[in-house]
Amino acid sequence: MIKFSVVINANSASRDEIKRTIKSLRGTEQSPLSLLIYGFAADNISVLRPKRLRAHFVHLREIAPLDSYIVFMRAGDALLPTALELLAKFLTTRPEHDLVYGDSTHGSVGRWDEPTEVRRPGWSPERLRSHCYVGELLVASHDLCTQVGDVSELALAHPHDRALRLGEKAKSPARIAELLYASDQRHLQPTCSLEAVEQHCARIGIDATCDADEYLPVVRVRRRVKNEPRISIIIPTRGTVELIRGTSTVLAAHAITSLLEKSSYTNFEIVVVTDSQTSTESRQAIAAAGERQVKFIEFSRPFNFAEKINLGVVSTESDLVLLLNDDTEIITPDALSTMVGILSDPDVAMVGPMLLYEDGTIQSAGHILNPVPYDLYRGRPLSFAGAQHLLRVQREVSGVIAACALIRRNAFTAVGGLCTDFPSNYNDVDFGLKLQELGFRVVFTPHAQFFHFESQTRSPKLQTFEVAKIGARWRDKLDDDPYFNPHLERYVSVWKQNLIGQRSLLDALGPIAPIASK
Amino acid sequence: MSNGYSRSLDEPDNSFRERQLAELARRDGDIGARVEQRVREMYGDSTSMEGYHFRDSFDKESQVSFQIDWVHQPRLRPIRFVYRHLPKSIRYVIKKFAR
Repeated sequence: MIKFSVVINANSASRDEIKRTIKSLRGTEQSPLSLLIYGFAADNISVLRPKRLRAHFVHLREIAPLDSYIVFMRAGDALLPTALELLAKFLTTRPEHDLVYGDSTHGSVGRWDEPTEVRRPGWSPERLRSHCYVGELLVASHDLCTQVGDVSELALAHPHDRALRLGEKAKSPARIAELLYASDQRHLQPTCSLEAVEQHCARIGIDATCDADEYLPVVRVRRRVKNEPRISIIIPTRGTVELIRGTSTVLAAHAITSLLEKSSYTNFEIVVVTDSQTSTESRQAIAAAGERQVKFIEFSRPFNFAEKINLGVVSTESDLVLLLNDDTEIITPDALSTMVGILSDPDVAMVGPMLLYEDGTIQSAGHILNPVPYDLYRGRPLSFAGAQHLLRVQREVSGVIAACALIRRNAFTAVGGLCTDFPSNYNDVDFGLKLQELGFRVVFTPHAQFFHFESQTRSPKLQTFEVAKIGARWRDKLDDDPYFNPHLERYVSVWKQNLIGQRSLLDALGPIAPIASK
Repeated sequence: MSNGYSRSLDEPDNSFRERQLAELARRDGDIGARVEQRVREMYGDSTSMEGYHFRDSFDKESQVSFQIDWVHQPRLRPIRFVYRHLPKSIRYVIKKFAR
């Protein structure tokens, strides 16, 4: 049977806050084996000694728990009655997980309002470097705590520091998509500690500078790029001429000009994949924009975006490949170095930037599969930070749009490039899922930004055979995106509490909703 | 390239490219077969996406989600006024029933 010890950091906590936590422990269906309270003034002990609990009011380094799992909590948070039972069930069926976190419910603004739930995504180490998105309740195996250090140090550490330390050593962290605790804190946004992130980077060898955001509690980790590895930039184009800011422009030429003029990263080659529809005038304009550094590849088959990209990639040799639509324009000069820096992590295979429409609204901030693929927060203004500051942090995603994505060549080859059965749509969704299938991670960064004018580079209409193919391959993943949460509202491009589901998703979507009961 | 716009081509021959493309297709097929088998095992023969609400367009506005804001229609102002001036407990009950 799984046993738990609850560890509370009572430093600077009031007596009421500790009482609230202890009261919640008494009400749990499965009682914890012991309760350890760190950093609490000794004269209050007699007042708070809980019944039915073997409590230890710990002076530093006195007692180390020997139980299987240790639950770290903030004094003032209340464990929900079913939390330990849920955790025990989860850990019994999946004993390989040595670090677990879950969802929480927070106090409402008004007394009569419903509490707000914070639903969290799956394990996302890149995001954890930006802020403590896992919340304040962490369950860690005793072995893991022993590896990390003293329990008392962990108990008294900043929650972000604690999560980073445990996350570094954890073999298999996991999210349990259930409400585990109720917080009396009314702000829902994750906290962060710049010092903890700096120490974390030093410990695991990330060569980076860390900066705290001026307005929000998030940290940006800027990795230093050494030796600027060469990037092959693949631009598939038909030579389309369109209006950009009122001026008629050859799109590919505009994209190349912006790269050459704005990008602070200069070690790249440009490969333009043209087809028979590309006019001579467009080719001349592209060549002129590229200052004769452009390499042209001719694609002579019927339109297939995936085939064009694959052809472009096999025609180059650099270790890094940037897929870039012709209707794009670089915004942040350090976009390429930011993306290359993230790829210095060998597990990361693909990085996608924030893409904006011409009017400055968001076009893509990574995919969510809920269950159909959506670009998160499409159409929202750039000033919008998103739920739990989702749009201000680098984070793992299930996929990014292929309009602009930096990819490691060995990963591209390992998964067989883009699937040519998706000539127009969903080749990027399929590609991201293939990378995950082989154990790679895909990261979205808001710190690299491009305009995506989204023109006629692909069919704007969804093809039935592409939907059938994506379902045949990935229906299980579409139904359960690890970087989404099954309790959030589906079929929308935003990250929001599922209010429909509280009524009945079946009622809301009709009887044909296939996953209503999920 | 014969158009003369590229500076130095240095490109591999077509047959080498074709071999590489064939290799990519083979690997994609291998992964595809594996994951399709897994999906079939989970869902049986019914692996179609019928019933899923795919939007049929990728236009700029097609995926945009807006908050439902019917409460703030001008014609509902009097009702909002009355609601806001009710005692909290009654508002709470109304909210509960509205859910």
